[in-house]
Amino acid sequence: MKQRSELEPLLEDVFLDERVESLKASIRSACMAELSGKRGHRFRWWLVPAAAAVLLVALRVFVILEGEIPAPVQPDTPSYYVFTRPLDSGRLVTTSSSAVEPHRVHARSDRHFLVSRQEVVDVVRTEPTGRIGTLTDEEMLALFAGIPCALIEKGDNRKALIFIHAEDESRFMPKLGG
Amino acid sequence: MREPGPARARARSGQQEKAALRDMTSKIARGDEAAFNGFYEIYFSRILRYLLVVSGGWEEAVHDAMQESMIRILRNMKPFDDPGAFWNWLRRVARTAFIDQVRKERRFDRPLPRSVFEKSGEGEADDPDAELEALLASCLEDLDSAERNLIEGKYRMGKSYEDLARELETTPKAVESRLARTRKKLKTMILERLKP
Repeated sequence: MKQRSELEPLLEDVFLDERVESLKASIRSACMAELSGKRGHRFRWWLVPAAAAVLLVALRVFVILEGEIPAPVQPDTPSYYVFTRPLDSGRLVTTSSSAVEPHRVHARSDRHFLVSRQEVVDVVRTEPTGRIGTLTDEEMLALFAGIPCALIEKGDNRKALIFIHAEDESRFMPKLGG
Repeated sequence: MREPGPARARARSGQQEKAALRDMTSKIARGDEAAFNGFYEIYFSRILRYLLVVSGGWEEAVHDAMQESMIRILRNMKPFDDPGAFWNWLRRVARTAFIDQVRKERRFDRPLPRSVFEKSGEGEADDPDAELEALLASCLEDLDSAERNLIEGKYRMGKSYEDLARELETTPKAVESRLARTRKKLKTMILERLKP
């Protein structure tokens, strides 16, 4: 703050006449309105994190409640079609598997070996066979004796094997190529 | 080596002044009314006089710009430690508000002195009150002896209206009116001498 000189009180009074006093009062009122707006503005800023916290809590409650609602019931298991047709005799094979330790494999002209980084590899030998067989509906159903299933006709020589329980279906269908 | 007493007292006083300024400006920035009122009482007249000096005594335009100046100061207030830096900032805000006000109202009926467009510290006195006080001193010399004696009795000797009324064989109310007229005369003389 600057030092007050001897003339300063007179200087203040010279320039602070009635008109300026009135101006000073009106400007003070305008400034007070501005100040209250400033405080209100600050208050609104404080509301932002509070609103964010409330939103998070509400979201959390919603997620919890959502978890308690039972999942919608899946519709009935759909039926899968099984297409069967006789294979050519040349495409029928028999397979037999055996385990071979890779270090003991000896190359032979009439054998093909699979090479793997695994310590034990499965060697599958295939040999042509001349036999071919077909299953009747009864023989097919006999394969699933004790498992609730049905074979239904769909027309166009198509038949569908239907499992009553979903777990049976997931157990057998991948193997049947469903 | 210990500081000499007066120097140490000045340093302590300076620290207190900085702390008080920081406290006041921080509170105003947060919207504290009491702090603003304190600031207003100290700085309203000083800013007004500053604008009168830089505008070349253009009282009407200064009055119009005062509200905008104070609102801008209020909106942009930030904590200050240094009184000099604070005053520089205040007068920069006030001067800019004054120029904007003149341009907005297209008041080109009177030329502005160059000092109003110069940055703080460039070509303008650090303390515009010093310029006003010099003008006031010269104007006092130009008053007639009765008016000068009245002013000196009140402001230099600190006499009351009653004392002055007894000396002049009149009423305190008459003394008060005569002083008001003399102050108005001084103001007119100063504003006239401030014109570019």
